[in-house]
Amino acid sequence: MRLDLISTTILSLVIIFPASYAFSQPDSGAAPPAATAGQDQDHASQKRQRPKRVVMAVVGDHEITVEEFMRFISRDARQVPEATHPEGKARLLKQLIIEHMFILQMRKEGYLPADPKISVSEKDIFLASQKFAAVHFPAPPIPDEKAIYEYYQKHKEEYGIPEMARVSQILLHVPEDANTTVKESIRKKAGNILMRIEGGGNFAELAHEYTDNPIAKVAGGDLGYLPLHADKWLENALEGITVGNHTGVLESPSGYEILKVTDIRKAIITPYSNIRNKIVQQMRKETQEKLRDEYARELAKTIPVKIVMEGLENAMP
Amino acid sequence: MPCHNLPVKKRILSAALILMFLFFALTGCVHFLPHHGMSSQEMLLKRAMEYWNARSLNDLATAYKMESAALPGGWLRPFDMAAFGAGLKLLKVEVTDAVVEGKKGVVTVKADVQVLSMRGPGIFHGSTTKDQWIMIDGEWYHKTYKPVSLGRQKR
Repeated sequence: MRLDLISTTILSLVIIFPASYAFSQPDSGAAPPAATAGQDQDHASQKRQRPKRVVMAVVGDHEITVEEFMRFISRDARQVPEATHPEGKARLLKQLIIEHMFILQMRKEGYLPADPKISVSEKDIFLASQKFAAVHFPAPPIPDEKAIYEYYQKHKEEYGIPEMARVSQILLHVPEDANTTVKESIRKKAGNILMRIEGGGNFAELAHEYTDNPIAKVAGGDLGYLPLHADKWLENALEGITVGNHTGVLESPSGYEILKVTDIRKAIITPYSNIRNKIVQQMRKETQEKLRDEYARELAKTIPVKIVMEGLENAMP
Repeated sequence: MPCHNLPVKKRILSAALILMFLFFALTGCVHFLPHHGMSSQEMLLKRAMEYWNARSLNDLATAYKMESAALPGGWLRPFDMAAFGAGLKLLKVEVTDAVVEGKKGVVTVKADVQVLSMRGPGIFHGSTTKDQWIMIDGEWYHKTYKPVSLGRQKR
């Protein structure tokens, strides 16, 4: 009953779509893995279990745990997709590390009480951060009009609905620990499927039979519409592939894939006058972030930071 | 034959027929049978199915054109449309019911919602909700909700 209420709420959030800006999962870290019908009960019991304390990084004396990291991500729903791959995880962890470095420095400079035992509210931290930022990495002035327009021209697709392709996929997954022989046999299998497609075989039927992507399997490999230029690998893979045509066997981060383009949607870009202020905000934010990162790099020379979790070394400021 | 030469009864009958024709042409027919003999309810159901199919396929361009606030003068920019739905994917979408009241419509939508998380996608099965539509210039448009932070909703 409770789950039904949660799922209905989520669907309502999808409908009231701009509200998804503010959408945050109550406990993103404990969200269930890919599920089949009837597993919701198991998810509920998983949610009640407290996760083990796993340290990801240490800043000064403070240990950043997986639990804290997940709370950090759930502050903004847009961060969740980023946290699903290692590079994104490292970028997010870096942000959290920088936050803690700044808190330490704010205590040192008197923006916050020096004694860490004195509790401070989030509001206190926010107000102190503003003063701290104004001194160490202040917001830059508004860029000139020409620069704003040039930025718009360069990032046009980001200010609208990007060009999208409807893609069908046959994915043959290669396990991470696969040796060369296993990898070669999977590649060979993909080659055989490609031969069947080129011999007139139905792509959707073959995808249904062979793909290792469980969600696309039921839809005959259909992945829906994907932005063409958001992912470099996909952009390169689909270069020159027109509607109705397919790629050869491609090596991807997940294994071997054959992709077919079934439709294309042209980009719909927001006119400059309707988005100018947003661009100004973005440009100033980017410049300020650069200044902040430079300052954080300098600060990292004086505050000990250690990345504990393997594969996240790029999180070092 | 000039109208004033007709008997009074025939004149009244002609006038009544003309008025009835005008009434149906201007109100009734437009409202009830606007497209290829489809009722307003059937039209709504068809549009809602197209919209939700587009949403489930991430076909934002198609869904955008069906949003009420994307019409000329509306506040919804393509940028806003592209920004929504982060981490959410709809699977097995069904529009099961449509109710029309004048220029307003409500459809029942049932879907599995996939939510991205760090531990892989989680799926909420069989979520249902009521989804609102409005008739503008003889066509149904999905009622777009404006986030509170951006001010009051217009369409």
